[in-house]
Amino acid sequence: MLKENEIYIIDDGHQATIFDIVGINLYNVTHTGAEIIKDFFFKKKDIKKIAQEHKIEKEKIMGFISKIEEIIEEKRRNLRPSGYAPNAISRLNINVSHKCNFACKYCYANHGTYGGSASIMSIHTAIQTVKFFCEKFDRIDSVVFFGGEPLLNMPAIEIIIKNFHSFCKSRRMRLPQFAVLTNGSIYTEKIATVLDKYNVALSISIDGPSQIHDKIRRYKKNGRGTLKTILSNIERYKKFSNIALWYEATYTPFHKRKKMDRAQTKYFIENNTGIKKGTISDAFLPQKHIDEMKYYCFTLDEIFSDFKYIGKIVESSLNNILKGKSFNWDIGKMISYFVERQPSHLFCTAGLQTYIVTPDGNIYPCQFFIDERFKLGSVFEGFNEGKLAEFSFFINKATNPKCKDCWLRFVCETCMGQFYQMTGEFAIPEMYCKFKKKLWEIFLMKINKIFSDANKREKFISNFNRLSKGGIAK
Amino acid sequence: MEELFAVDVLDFSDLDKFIHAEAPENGCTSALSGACCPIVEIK
Repeated sequence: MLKENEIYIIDDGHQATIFDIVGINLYNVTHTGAEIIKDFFFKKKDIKKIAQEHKIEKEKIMGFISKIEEIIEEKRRNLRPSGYAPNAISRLNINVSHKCNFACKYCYANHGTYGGSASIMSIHTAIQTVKFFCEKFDRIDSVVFFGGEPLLNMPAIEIIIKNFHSFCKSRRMRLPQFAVLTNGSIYTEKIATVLDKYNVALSISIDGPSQIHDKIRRYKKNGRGTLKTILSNIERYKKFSNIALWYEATYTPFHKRKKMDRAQTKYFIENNTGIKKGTISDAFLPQKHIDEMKYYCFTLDEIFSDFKYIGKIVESSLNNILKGKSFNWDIGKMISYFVERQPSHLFCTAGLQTYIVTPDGNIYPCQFFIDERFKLGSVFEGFNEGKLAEFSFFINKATNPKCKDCWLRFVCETCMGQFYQMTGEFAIPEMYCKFKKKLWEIFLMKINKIFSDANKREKFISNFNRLSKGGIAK
Repeated sequence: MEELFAVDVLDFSDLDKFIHAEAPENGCTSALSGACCPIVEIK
């Protein structure tokens, strides 16, 4: 017998989508079919009453109920068990520098220091970081040099990469993919030669045209704009064929005031840099810096109340796949739940498969949790098992009363770090839950309309498979 | 009547696994999926 908290129905009055929460499957039924399912499984009405109300023979109602139960049960069988590869890290962030030469208006990290000192990682700590993680883990997928401005400490980056090469070779581990998140202001031929030699990707922060970028991403020393230098450095880095270039843009209320939307920002960056791959994310207002940052960062309400925007994004992203035009990563990730069919039990994998190391060698779950309260250990003293257990409790959805019975409990992942920064609390804001539910409802109805039409389905699948391959790094 | 009780199983099995883990993640979070963004937007 199907339970009410195992399926969720979205009904537009003509066509309905049944989302099997437990089996991570989708079904298309008619509006009447959906009404009968609700009456029987949710409202617990008896068959006779349902038959009378819908003016349909009792036997037919019974047949439908058994058929739907049978199909759902059958399709649940090949669900993949949830779990995370033991001793594997998906992303290791290494903050080689808490110094930064920029003073960006929306920086949640106190211009690179995270509230501490503007230090850089010593060579000794850099070597110990590689040793610690290579001895502790069997697989590290990516190593991201982060900060502050990581290129202010190139000697640490170089020694870390070299040591990874030798450790991975001796332990027969797969080499991680390396990337540097940089503000783009630093270039020397020596730096570029090293990055090129070791196939290091560069993700360069750039926020749009001069009238925007230069007002929000300025040099700390003299307050001058930085765009001209960044654009010229991009041209220099382009000459090194093994350095994959990406852009990382931050969208702010300042863009909005200048009448520039996300699409125009993206268009400007791609056309002026020639870099066609990157991300645009919203600047969020950190609770610790409300007064000085409120004109440059979005509040929770501003980010998560624009339901019109969600509908537009979902619709255009799915249409773009149908037309073979482009592929939105977020939509790809939502679809992937139905392909992989592996229930997710954690909000994210911070503190389990993702870590960040600060210049002093301390380990934290991610960049948003660089705080004594969340310190998980150090590369010199090892992990603090108690702290690891405490953090894994925080990120487990089963321990959160809000998520326990939510219909999105096995497909919802979120960034607790961003909420922690915005609210100072380890909790999910209610408006985020509303936003997420609305997003999924729109997505499920639209994906149902595509997949229940044989022609559209075929087109969608062939485009999805082609487009999703094209964009993976390297 | 038959049509009234139709149940279509939406079949995603022909979709390739989306190998998002292969792209390194950057420092931001996506408002839509709530996940760490990879350094990639697929074209």
